[in-house]
Amino acid sequence: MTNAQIIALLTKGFQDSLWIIAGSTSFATLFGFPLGILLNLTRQDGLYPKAAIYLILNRFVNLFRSIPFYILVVALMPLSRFVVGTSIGIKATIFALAVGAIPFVARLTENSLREVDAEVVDAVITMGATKLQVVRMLLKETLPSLLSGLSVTMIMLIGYSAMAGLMGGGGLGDIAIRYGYYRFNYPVMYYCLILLIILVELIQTSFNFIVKRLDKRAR
Amino acid sequence: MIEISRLTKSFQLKDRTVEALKGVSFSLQPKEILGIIGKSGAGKSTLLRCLSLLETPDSGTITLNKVNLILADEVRMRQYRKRIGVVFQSSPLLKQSTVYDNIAYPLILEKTDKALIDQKVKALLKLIKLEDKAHAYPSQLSGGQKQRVAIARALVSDPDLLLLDEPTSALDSVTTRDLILLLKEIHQSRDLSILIITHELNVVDALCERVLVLEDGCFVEEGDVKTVFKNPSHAVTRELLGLKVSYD
Repeated sequence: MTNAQIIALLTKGFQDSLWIIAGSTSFATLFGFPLGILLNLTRQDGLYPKAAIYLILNRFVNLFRSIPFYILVVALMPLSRFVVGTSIGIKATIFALAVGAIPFVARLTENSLREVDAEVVDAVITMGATKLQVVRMLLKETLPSLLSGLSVTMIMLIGYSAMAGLMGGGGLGDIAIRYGYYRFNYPVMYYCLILLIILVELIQTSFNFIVKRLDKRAR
Repeated sequence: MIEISRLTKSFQLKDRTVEALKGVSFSLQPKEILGIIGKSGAGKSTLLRCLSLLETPDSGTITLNKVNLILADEVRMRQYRKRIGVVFQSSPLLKQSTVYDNIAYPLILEKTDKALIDQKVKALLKLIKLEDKAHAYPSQLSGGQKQRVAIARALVSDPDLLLLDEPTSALDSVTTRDLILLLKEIHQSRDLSILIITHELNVVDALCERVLVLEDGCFVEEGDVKTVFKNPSHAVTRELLGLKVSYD
């Protein structure tokens, strides 16, 4: 492989990885975030305690979180073909990653919202707040924690995207496995590794910066 | 005037039912400061949660200016809650909001005009002597300052009743004295009744005209503070008085 070929390959891989992470994080958040709020509201000490709904949602989240991700990707293949029209490539990876991360995002959201003391919720209720206003308050109070959760989700998804690479999922993980593992082209694999580390560092550092700026809870 | 009549509340635990309130009745006149004292587990917290309309009693009535608050629907209940300003023990402020926004919060919820909010919040900041902390966050305040902000927040909707739950239990003696002075000032300058639920008798002694002693979900003694504290008739009152320290 010439240097130009390697650069082209890695550039494409990096772009694909960015798409995969952006796409899967967006979809996982789109569904996982409301699910997390619902879990928080319906729990026994929540604003709308509904034992049956909480039980079902909680079981669903636990069930999905207990399936090893690699198995989940394989299990999702038929569904993936049905929903996005293919079971390999970036689209299929985004689909599988998003579905796999929804319960994870939901649990992180639920836990973040629980960081607000019960007395704060009580205080806001005694001020005459509607339930919607209480939820808004919870979101504002836990924004730094929710953003931290988002960064954890993104970094987890980078790891999972590499696993999806085992099945031709696209992105840097895919290249690392195809060139490094199957063809013994170690330099390419290490380049991928370095790029992945840079990506994770970039995400972590930017989120740390934003969260630190937003978080007024600590002195 | 606030009248509480035959309030009962029980909780179902796993293996038994706990009767937290066994038919308590009392009334609070306009501008009166009433103290309710009792040991831990006497039913103080349940009473406070019922009075702040966070908990619905099993039976009995809470009447504010001749309206029974218990029978209200959700919309009316929210209106009534604004008539009662509650100061909780842990001064639960919004940590992501400034002192100014914390005090303004009840008015922001009502979508009050910004100019009016500004006027009211500034007056309250002056009252609690924290004008210089308007843009600080709760994490930058001391325990006493937080409690002052919580009091200002409870006052911003001009309530008929100010309900305080153990307002000084987390404060040192000097800060407690300052808070007592602040409450006296509020009592003099504002047209509201104040109800303090506490186990700290020195606070009741310094502030209240009348005191009720709660034990095991019932009132066991009632009277003006000086008389009750001088000649306690019930064993619980005597026990509580044994713990009394003076701030004079």
